[in-house]
Amino acid sequence: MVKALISGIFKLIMALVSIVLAPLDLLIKSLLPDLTTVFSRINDFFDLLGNYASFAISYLGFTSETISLILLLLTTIITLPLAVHLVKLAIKWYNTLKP
Amino acid sequence: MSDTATYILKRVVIGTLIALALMFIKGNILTEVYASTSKYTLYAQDYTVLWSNTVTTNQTINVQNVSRIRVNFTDAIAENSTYQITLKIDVTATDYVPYYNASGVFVGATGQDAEVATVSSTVTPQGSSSFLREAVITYTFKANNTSSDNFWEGSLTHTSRITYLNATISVSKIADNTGEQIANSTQDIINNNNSNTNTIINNQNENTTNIINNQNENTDKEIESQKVCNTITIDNNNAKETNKYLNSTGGYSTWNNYSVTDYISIQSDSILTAKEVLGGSSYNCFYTDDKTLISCFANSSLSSNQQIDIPSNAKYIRVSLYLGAQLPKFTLKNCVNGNQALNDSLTDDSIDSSGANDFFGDFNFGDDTLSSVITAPLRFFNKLSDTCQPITLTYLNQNIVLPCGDTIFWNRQDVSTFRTFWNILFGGIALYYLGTKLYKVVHDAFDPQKDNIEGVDI
Repeated sequence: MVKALISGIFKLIMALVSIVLAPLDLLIKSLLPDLTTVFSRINDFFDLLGNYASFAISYLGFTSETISLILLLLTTIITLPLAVHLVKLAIKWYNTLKP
Repeated sequence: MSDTATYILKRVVIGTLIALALMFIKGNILTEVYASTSKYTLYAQDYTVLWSNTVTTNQTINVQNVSRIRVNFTDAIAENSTYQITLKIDVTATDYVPYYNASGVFVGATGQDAEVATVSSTVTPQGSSSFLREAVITYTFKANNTSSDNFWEGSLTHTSRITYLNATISVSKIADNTGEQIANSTQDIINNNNSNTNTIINNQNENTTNIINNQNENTDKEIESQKVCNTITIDNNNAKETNKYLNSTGGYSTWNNYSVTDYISIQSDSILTAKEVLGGSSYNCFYTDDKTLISCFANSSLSSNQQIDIPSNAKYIRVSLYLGAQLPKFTLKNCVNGNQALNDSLTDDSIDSSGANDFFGDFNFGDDTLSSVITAPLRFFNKLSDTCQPITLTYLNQNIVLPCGDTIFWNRQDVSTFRTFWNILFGGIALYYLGTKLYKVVHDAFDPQKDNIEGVDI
């Protein structure tokens, strides 16, 4: 359950980033097509790491519960400050715009 | 014409109209002339008949010696109704009005005891008056006997110096029990209606409940009665064990081009029909749920389109097939009730999770975009929780398999305690950092100077 929740949050963030950067991606593809090759190599590298990540983790002896806890820490570090920042930003706008 | 005269005239006209209306209403409602067949008789004191007739209008009657009046009711009278007998004497030929006293009694049917009804008599005018031209003697009584043989007899005494007078006599029903009857009937109707209404309501409730129950019951029965059937054909396509067939004891016998099917599910209420038969010495056998042999039947004993009896505890069947002739062929019709079919059809796979999966899976941003680079660490983190797969390396045409750490070390029983300690240690550290991070985020949330976004350092 925790694993599915964490995985869902990761995918959601990735989807949101993709949507926000979609115009920029189109611009790079049309104006700087060679740059996309660099992006592909970087992604390939991370994919390669990801393919062996679970193998490496297995040698650390962590159970699935411990791995989920570590991922939860990473998720919190990534998402919670962003959520708090958005709330504070909204309050700041409200204070600025209110008569 | 003065205003006063006009005022008086208007009041007189209006009063007259009202009086006429009241008379009209009264006359039509209360006065009902009794049957014309009634016979009126006037007697002298010694019962000498002085006058007798059924018609009483403007008869010249010598009333001088009349002392008794009798009215025979030839029709049945209504019980508890009030009748009025009127003797109207025109005194225009007299010098002065006679003085009358009247009384009467209602006599029952002839030969029966007389039943005295309520009797009253009114003589108008009382006493004498030289100015009145007419005398009306009225007798009223309330009948309590409904026989058609009733008669009423009244006595009449008067003083008069005249001998012949024009007189009319009539009997009228001036009040009846219709109101009481109507009231009673109405009350009965109300009571009956209440009772009936309650009965109807109760019946309706009961019927409605019955209908609902019946509908529920019928729905259940309908669902149960809706059989879902599946017919399969057992033929060469079911061949499994080759070059053998089943003998009479359920064992194998070897012969080329013969085959035995696998265990085919069957039910006691299934319909097994031999469509095309095969001779020879091969058998087909029934088995229980744990695949214990029940009985066998020979292919040579079958005829086309013969329905085969299935043992009650049979759960499987195996058939011997001759591949050379592609015989025999059976049809097996398995039926289950609707509820069972519905329950069997619902599995975990019936849950449609495509919507949730599509929400995240449909964001395809490719591997050559800036967003994919930014989100690459997240994809990497996400893969950390994947199950380990051994890595296979190829070196000099030799495959080298690198097993997972769990296989080599961590799944050993003698290190399980150490593994638990190891996980508590690192899990505790992660939990500590998680707690401090949450505390810091909450603390900074109230600090207006810290509105920057903190994240992982990539």
